[in-house]
Amino acid sequence: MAKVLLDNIEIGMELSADVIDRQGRVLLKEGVILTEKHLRIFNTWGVLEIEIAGDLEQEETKKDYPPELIEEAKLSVATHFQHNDANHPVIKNLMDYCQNQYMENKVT
Amino acid sequence: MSNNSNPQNDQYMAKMYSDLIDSLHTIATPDDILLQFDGEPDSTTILDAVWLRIKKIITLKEMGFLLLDDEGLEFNLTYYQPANAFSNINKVSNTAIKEGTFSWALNQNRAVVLHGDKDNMSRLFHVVAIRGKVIGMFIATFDFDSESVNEMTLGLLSIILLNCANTIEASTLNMKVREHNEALETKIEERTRQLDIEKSRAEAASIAKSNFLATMSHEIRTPMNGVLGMAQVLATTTLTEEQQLYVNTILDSGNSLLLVINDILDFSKIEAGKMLLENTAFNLTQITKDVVNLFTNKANEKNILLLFTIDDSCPTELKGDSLRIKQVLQNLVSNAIKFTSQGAVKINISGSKISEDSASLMINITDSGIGIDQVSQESLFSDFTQVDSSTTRKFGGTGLGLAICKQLITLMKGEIGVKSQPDKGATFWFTLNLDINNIIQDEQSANRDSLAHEQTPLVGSVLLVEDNAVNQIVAKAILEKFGLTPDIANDGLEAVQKIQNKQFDLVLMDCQMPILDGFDATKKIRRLENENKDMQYLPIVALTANAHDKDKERCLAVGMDNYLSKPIVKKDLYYVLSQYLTKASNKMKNDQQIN
Amino acid sequence: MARSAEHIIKSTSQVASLPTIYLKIEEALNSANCSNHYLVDILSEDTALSARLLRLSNSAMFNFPNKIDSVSQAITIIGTQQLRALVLASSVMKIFKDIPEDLINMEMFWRHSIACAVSARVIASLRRAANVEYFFLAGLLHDIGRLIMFKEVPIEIGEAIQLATKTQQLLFKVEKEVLGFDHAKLGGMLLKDWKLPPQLIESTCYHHNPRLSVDFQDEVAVVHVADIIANSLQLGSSGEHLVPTLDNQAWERIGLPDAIITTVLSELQKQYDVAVDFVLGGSDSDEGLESGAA
Repeated sequence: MAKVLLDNIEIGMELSADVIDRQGRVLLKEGVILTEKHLRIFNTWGVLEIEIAGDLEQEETKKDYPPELIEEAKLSVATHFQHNDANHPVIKNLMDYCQNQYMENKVT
Repeated sequence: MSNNSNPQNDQYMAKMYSDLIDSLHTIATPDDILLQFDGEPDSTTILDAVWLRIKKIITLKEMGFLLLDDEGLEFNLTYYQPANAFSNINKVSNTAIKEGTFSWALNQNRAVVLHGDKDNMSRLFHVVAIRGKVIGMFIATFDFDSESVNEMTLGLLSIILLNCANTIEASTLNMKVREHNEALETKIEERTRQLDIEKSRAEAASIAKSNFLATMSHEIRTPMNGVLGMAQVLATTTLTEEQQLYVNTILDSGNSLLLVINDILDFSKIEAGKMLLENTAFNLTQITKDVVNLFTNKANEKNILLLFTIDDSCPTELKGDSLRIKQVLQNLVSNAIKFTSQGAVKINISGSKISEDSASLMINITDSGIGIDQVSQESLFSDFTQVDSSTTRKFGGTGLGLAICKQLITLMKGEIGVKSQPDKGATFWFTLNLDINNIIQDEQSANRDSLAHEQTPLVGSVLLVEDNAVNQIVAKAILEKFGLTPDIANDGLEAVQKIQNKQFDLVLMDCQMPILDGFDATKKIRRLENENKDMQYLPIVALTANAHDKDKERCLAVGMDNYLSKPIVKKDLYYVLSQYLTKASNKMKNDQQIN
Repeated sequence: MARSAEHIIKSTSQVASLPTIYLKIEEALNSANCSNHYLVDILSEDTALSARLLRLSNSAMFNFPNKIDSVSQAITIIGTQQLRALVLASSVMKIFKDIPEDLINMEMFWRHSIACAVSARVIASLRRAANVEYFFLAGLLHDIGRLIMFKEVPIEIGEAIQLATKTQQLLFKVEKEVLGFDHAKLGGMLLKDWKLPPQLIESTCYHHNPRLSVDFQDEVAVVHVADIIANSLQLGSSGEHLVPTLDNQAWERIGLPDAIITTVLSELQKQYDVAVDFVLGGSDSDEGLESGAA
């Protein structure tokens, strides 16, 4: 799977992920083989890059974090968000994001 | 460096202000398109109206509306002005798409202006969208030095296009709603049609059931009548002791069988919802006595005490279906005696008035028999159960008895139940709410019973109309016992012919016959009587295997005078005959007087 | 000894005022024949600002497909009405001078405000708001009340910060306990004094209590949520160490699907540095402190 910029997209490539517009609406679904019409659609909606199937680049391996780090991250985030309802979808989203950021920062 | 005191500025501002007011008035006027076109104006109609407004506010050279296709992916130039603007607007659009200006404008919420110069027209892009959804793109060209395109007019354009988006969306939604409703209508029609078909089927099935029950009833009772009738007649002839024993056995078996058949037919009838209850006057004490009398001998044989008490406060002149109440009482007393080997069976009835016209009764039948355990109690009143299969063999019965009692009591809106412990006997109880009969009961039933034992022969000419040979023999034999010699007709047609040739005193008319049945024959006879003033009125009594009350009505409706059900019970037949024929002694007396 | 909010504002407005360039642009926009040329002329007096505007218009914040070469074009892309908001945003830093650094790091303060500004702008544009730059400005100004506190009542706010850290409470609540009012209210009062549009005033005043807003509930809701996002990501800091409580109703008002947060966060990542450059870029040189002679 690889991210390809609009300029480099060619007919015949296969989408390996849904293509969404800037509002989050799905334009094309994963698995579609690109045609001329699709290129025009990308231009129309301002899609700048897409994910296509292929062996252009190595697969990004899922990061495995050590469990102590995960715990530490969870605790830190929980403290930071203590005045919020962790079940609210928005808060949950933010907390997950922050947890990942925490772990990323510690690892790098 | 302030410009504020510049008179040119003031003039400009004043003009801007007044232009703004005018424009706002224009936009603020609703255009009613949705109302005019039943809520579904098409896009051309809507865009015509929108263009009309835009024109009043901005001066443009060429314009076009591109609308998003159904998939939500591509934009198509749908509306454009003037008529020859099509290719140019498309060109502007395609260039913008390639350059990215188009997609950029899609994500802006205001007009995007690309300025031209003396060689190129200025271009204007504005997305047409409501909050969650893009509907299209507005594209226009105008002179590069046009003053009519400015912040104010572009702001107004935004308002107009937002309104346009709302109208298009509303129209689409209205169309969807209408289509949805139409689809629903179709579904509803379809379902209704199906329901009608089901209903017809159900009605047909119900009629089929009724017919089946009626036929079965007839098919079963007719031969039963033959067997029992014959046995009865045989019993009255001179027999040896051995023969007497055999005849009694036949009668016993026959009667037992009849009981079973009646149970089954009753059960089927109630199941099919075809049981109708009577509501006639009866005396509670009398019917209880009748039931007790039935079992006196049996109780004596088993050395069991059988007695009944009715509380003083309990009303006894009541209205209801006495036959069915007796049936229930009979069943419960029969069981009580069956399952008791020593001690007593006591019937106790208590009750009170619950209003001027109605009373509430509680009937208890207590025995000192083997009792019933808790588990068995639960399934006691269910169809087809007996406590255990050995009971069937030992005590006999179909197991339907209690189930029918429950059905009947439930039909009468009462309740039924049992209290018992093994070896400690049982109390079966049922409750009823019945109307109180405030009219003095008529003498008829009393008379009937007193007549039951009369054997005085009768005099008169009787026509017996019956197609079944066995039944003919049986009926003839019984009538001869009463001193009558009936003429025979094999079907309704024969009957009609015979009565025209001879004056009879009474016709006993079987209802179910081939060629011309009892009903039609009766109708014919009554018609003849009407036409022929010389003909005397001929009493007709129906003999029918059907025990339905509707049949009774039908008999009376076609002109019959009375009604007897098969198998024929001697005393009932005698009672009816005695109403239309004279008793022998009277006649003799009369004859003597004449002589 | 406790100073009232009114008193504080009075003394603040004596030393802090809107930058001249902003006032000039305001005036120009309200005048006759306000053409691009005229605006370009004004802006050219502040070359640093012009440069920053140009960089901004070419950035992810605007995502324009082609390169923008001139300030005139930049103004077209940005939009003349929106220009005033951005001009004020770019010069807001100069308004507040001499804030004691032991209480707050100015860069950190502005970074938090910028994160809020970008988030607010992104949310507004997803909602198809008409003037997204106003949201940028509102986000940028939402916490200025605190700057005033740092300047005018440093001891009290210092106490409040200590207390909040010790008891793990939200700072704006402790402010109320210690001072009798919070930074939101104070900020709102300053903006009112500056006669900025009521939308901006309410966004600042009610960003912690969006339900109290009267006429601009939608706008305030956006800034409220943007502030929470900025606090969550800990991009800079204005003194608050914990994430303020999200008001459910405010989120409902915004009317976007819950999953849109992912889009917001990704846009924030793309636009944050550009915005920082735009707002703080002028501070790494002395130019811009004197924004041109009137």
